[in-house]
Amino acid sequence: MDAVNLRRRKMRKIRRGAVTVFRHFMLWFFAIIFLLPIIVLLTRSIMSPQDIYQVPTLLFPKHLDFSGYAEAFDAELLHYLGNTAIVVSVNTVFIPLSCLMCAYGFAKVQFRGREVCFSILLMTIMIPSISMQIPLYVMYYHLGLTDSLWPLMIGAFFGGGAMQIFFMRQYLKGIPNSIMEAAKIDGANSAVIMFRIMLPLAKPVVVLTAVNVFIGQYNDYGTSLIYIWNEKYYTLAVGLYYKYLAPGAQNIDANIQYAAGVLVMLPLVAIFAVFQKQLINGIVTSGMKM
Amino acid sequence: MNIRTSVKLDDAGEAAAVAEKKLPKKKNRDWVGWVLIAPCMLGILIFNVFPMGMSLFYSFTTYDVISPPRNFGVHNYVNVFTNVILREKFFKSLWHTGVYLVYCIAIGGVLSYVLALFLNQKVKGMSMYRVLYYLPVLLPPVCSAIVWADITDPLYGLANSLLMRMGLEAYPFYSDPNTALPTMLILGLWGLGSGMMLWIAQFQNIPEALYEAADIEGANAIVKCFRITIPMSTPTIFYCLINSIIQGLQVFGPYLITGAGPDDSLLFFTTNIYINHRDFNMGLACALSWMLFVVIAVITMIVYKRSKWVFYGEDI
Repeated sequence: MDAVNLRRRKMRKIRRGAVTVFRHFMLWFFAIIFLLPIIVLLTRSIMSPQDIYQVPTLLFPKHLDFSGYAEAFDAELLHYLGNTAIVVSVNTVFIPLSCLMCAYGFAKVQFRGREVCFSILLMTIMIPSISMQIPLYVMYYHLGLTDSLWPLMIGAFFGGGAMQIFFMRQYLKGIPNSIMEAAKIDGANSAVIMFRIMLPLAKPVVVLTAVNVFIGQYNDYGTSLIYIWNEKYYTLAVGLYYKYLAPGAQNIDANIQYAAGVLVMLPLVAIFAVFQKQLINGIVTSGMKM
Repeated sequence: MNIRTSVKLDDAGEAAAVAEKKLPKKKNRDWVGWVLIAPCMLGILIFNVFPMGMSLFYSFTTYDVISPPRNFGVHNYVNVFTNVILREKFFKSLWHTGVYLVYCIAIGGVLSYVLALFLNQKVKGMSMYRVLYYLPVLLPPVCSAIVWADITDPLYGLANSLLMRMGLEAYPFYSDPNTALPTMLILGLWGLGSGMMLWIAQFQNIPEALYEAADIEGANAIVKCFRITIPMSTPTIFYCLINSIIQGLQVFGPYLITGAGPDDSLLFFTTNIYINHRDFNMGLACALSWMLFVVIAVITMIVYKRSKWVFYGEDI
């Protein structure tokens, strides 16, 4: 009896093990398909041009060739990186701050006209960004700010978009009022409450906003494509576009392009590695509250 | 509208709102709130309201930025439908955008849902798998443009090399007007990860008790999927629907790879606006962008009005 039971249990164990292995196999199979662009980006950046242009082309490098990195990492790339760094850091610092200020006003301060202002704010979410692009361009043109980095940064001082403010307000609403009232009794004014009490309490949402702004600004090419013509002000995205992809761009060996792509990806990888948890949790909760 | 933000509005938030109203009213302290929201409201005035007004104004003029607007009238709106070239471009862009929108909602939505079901199994290391599937979304657009432009190169590309090795015919990808749009739609599948994450979040919000009850009743996996998972996911379905409409109508296409595509085969509504803007046809570009705005507003409104099927939980 026991022997039969034991064998049965063993069979079940094996079957369950086989199912698990099959599941992992399928998961890895599709994961590799999804990761294909990243894998190709990495492997081709260390291939020699001969290997890349061979017909039929190779999947993996025959011998490693890091010359692409040496060529891609030139003064131009550093220059573009510098411009991107300016734009991204200004946005990443000032959008969360101005956003927090506004969200705090909407969430925790009572004043006349609050609801009206808030509904105006919400309505702007629906306006497609391209619809406002042209008058903004005209405005910057007449201010003499086209062909500079300003159009990419000025918005940061004004809250940087309704969506961010909306989500931050929702978060702040969840912070109990009693904390603020206690501070008020202790004689704190609004500025003190905001920076000494709200900022630490809202840290998760502020960090998340900052990370999102960083990623968004780092990746953005549309705005730069519109405002920047002078090579002096190219950001990474448009810089690489004009260098490698735009019609009329020079024919540059693919391994150099790929190496540049890897270099551009690195800061994002670093950010994602550090803030992975917040980002995933952020996506997880954002869908719930629309 | 790529929002990834943490939100915690719940009963506590409502309670706080109620408590706030009970606060004793002191002297006029309205200015505190006004000062706090001033920068943002100013921003909305400068960067949203004013541009929309000006855009409407420019759409009734001929304007090239350098010289002042002239030629007042509705000619931009009329020309879009009467001028042969403009009309062709307009309807082409409308058709492509429509195809993309349907793809976004039907194929993108369904496949990301299936993917989410696939990644919702109880397997060790699942969160790692989810990150792997999500990673391509994080690839900077210019990087993915470099990668895909090279992979889909009709002569030297990796894709054709693989196809030929499998004994299939070479595919022209972005180089042929007939295959450019399908290519873009297929490559769009690598972005399914963003939708998937939303679905998984929604699945985790469904109380386990419902499934346990169904198990006791003897329901199978398919019944559970259609009677529990899908009805309980309606808020996310609705959110994705609205998002797909707003985002899908604003699709810019793989402009970094091929511009508007061979023979305008990847000319989308927004691309059309951008190209007119680039060529300093500001009046026409503004007219087109107002049309887009109206279309988005009307469709969104209709979807909102017909949203009775969305189930937000018992308590609301």
